[in-house]
Amino acid sequence: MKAAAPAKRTETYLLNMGPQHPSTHGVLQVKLTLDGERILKAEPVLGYLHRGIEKLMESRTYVQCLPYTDRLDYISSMNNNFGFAMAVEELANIEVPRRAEFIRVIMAELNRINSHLIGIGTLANDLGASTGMLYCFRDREYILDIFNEVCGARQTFHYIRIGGVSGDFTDKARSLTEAFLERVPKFLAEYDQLLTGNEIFTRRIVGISPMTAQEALDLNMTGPNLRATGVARDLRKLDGYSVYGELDFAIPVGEHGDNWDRYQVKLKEIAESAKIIRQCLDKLPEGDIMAKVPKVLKPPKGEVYSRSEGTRGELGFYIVSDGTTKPYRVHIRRPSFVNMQGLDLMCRGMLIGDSVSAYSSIDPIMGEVDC
Amino acid sequence: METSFLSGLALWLRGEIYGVTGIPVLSDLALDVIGIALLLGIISMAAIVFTYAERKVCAFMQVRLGPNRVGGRFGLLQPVADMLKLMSKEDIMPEGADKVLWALSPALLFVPAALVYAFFPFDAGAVLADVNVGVFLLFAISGQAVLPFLMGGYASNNKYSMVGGFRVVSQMISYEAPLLFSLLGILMLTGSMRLEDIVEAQAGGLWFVFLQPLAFVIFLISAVAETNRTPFDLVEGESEIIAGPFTEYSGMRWALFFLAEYANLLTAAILATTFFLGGYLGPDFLPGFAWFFLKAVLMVFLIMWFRWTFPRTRVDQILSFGWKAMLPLSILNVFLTGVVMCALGLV
Amino acid sequence: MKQRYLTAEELARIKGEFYTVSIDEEERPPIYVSPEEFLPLMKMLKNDHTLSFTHLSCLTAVDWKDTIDVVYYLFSELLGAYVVVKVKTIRNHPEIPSVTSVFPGAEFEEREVYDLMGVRFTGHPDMRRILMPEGFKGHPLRKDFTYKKPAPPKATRVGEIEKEADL
Repeated sequence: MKAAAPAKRTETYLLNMGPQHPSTHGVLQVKLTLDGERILKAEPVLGYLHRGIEKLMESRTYVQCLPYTDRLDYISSMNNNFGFAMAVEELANIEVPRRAEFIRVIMAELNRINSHLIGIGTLANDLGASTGMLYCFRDREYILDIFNEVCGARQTFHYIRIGGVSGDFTDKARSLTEAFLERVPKFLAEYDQLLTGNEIFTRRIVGISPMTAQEALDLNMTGPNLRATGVARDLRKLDGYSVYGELDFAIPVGEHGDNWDRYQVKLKEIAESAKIIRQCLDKLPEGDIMAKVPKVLKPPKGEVYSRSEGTRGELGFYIVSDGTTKPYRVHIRRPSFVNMQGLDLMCRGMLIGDSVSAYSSIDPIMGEVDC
Repeated sequence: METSFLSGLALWLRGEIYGVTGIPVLSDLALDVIGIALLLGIISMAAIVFTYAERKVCAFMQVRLGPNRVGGRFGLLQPVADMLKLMSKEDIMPEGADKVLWALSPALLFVPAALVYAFFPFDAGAVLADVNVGVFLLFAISGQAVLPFLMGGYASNNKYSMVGGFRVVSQMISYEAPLLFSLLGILMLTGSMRLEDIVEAQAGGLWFVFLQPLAFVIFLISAVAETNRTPFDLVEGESEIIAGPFTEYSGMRWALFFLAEYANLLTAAILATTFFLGGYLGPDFLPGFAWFFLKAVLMVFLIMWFRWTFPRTRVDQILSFGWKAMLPLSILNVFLTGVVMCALGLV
Repeated sequence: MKQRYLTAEELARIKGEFYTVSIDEEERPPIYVSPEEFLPLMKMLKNDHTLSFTHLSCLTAVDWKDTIDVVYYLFSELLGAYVVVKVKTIRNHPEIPSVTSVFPGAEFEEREVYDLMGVRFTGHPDMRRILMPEGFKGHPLRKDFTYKKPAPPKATRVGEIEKEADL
């Protein structure tokens, strides 16, 4: 009797990418189920950088909590300071001086450019173009110089305080900012030459990891990742918090929600942020930079959820006050953490080489994901 | 045979040794040993010079300074420091590795990389192994370099290495074909597989880069793919699979891979020089071997330039490009060469 | 920056449709609902054309020592307003239905609440710890959580720890 030929079969295998891996943006671990080079499933494993910031904040006063927000998304500390300060101000009914509001917006937008530069740079680096990364980092230095001038730090600024900002926007900072704004179109044109116009770069990201608007909305994604799918939702426009309501800027959106759109949205947002900063510089009024905040801050009993447009999406602070100097409970809605849910969808059916570009186009910062 | 500085030197040496020993075989043998030592010297010098050059070139392109601490302002001793670091590193063997294959892989990779140097005409008459099927042997030997990669990848007991090994096989096999086909046109024009004949055929400034521009482009792209450098460095693919087959190697074993990589880089440059840029030919004010190395170094710089400008391609793109674009184009080149030769009555 | 929350009239309508809904008179009025009616309420808030709270802005839990409240902030772009939904759970055995069937994007946040607060979400596709390591005892964000430092692993020769782990 003829024996039945053994059926041909292939086996899937599991590849643990990270937490030690050159392109996992810190300590992200992704369990890839692979069929050859094709990804069947990508499961992010989080928690390697969990420091319990929410728990730590429960035993600190509101003022002491602020530096912890620097360490959430350490690339965009200004935006985190901004979000937390706004939440406490809403809880304690503190009115912020107008000059401080404008300075805050300038800083938040500079930080957004900074963060997007790193996002674009790491995308280039993950695709093997390390030169692209270093060009982005070169231009980022100019922003760090401005931050250094206003608050004396290049990272973890703790500059935006409850009730205002800690130092004035000096003339030197102004001239540095203006010099930087002049550079923006120049370096954007340079990236267009080095990266956008590069055939290999284009082929690596066009049509890769696509996502429809409905999928992104279902997954609760926010920020550039959502806007790349074509949904023009930006909290700066939607909520118009701080002085954003008075400023004129556009919301760049993509079309297909692929890596190309996410990259383009970031590039265009840099230009829009530069526009916002220019307007703020023109409108910057004279006056105080700090409101009268009591030495011992005791917000009334109650709770608040205040959100702002962080660099990676909706950054929300939920604070429960029991009337003492310390918050009873703080919860941080971290955009990177929620956006991580899209990773599986973005990686499925792609190749190993595409998974790294999916990581860097989601642009997670593990300090924020793990909190 | 034409005389040149190098071949003249060899003749003089042979005479001297013959004068001392009086046995012709011994003098031939001694000369071969000297030649091999020289070639190994060239390879290791290339690795040393290119590590430094790569760092400086890449720094220059990336608005950085590059090495500037070890050995003065220009960091001239950086390769020495690199070497010392590599030599003092612990040799770690992963658990569950196939010990024999694992240890053999770097050595086996280095052998073909070094062996092909025997065929290169560094100057008129200055060839260690002057064979009339040089081109054929050269690619037969260098094609063997696929196996050690796969061996290392398989033996490391690491999935990244494994994926890297698979990538090497698919990539190198698909680019071997267009690489060879791109040279067919030249072989048809010269009618010889001896490398020195090919160089001599380009005398008078009519380099094959002008006669066969399409072949040159195909050759260059394929050669970069064969040496596994960006934009075709999928094998190492640092941001994807860490270091591919080399992931688990450390210390001097890794240094051997490194050495082979730079030897291959120089090989690619030398081949381009020999086949397309007129090899050692050039105006008389410089000796032939100087022209030869000048052109080779320029080609190395060009390949480095690629590396620091381009992103990496993806594995499916590189394969479809190789089979669907490069191979048909190289065959078209052969066809066109044949047609033109027929039309000119050269056949 | 003051946000708009649902007004009393709008809330009264929601209250009329559900038995267990109660509303606190606060600046940011929360809707309290029982676990049984929680999912229908969320479905209604999301799918009702006059409300369409399609964005789950924040999902968290607060430990009030006797109960654990799970808090949902929903945002409606149509109304430009928030609604706050809270579910009280028993502290010893906190369990509520998972909202992932209505808002699939709540998956990670529910896992986080489970990990740090110990609230079980029934019907969640993948109810595991997300931030703390597997095998961690306790839920750190609870008010009575005390951290006991685990004994440092005994110094052993290389490879022995792995062997123990295999057993």
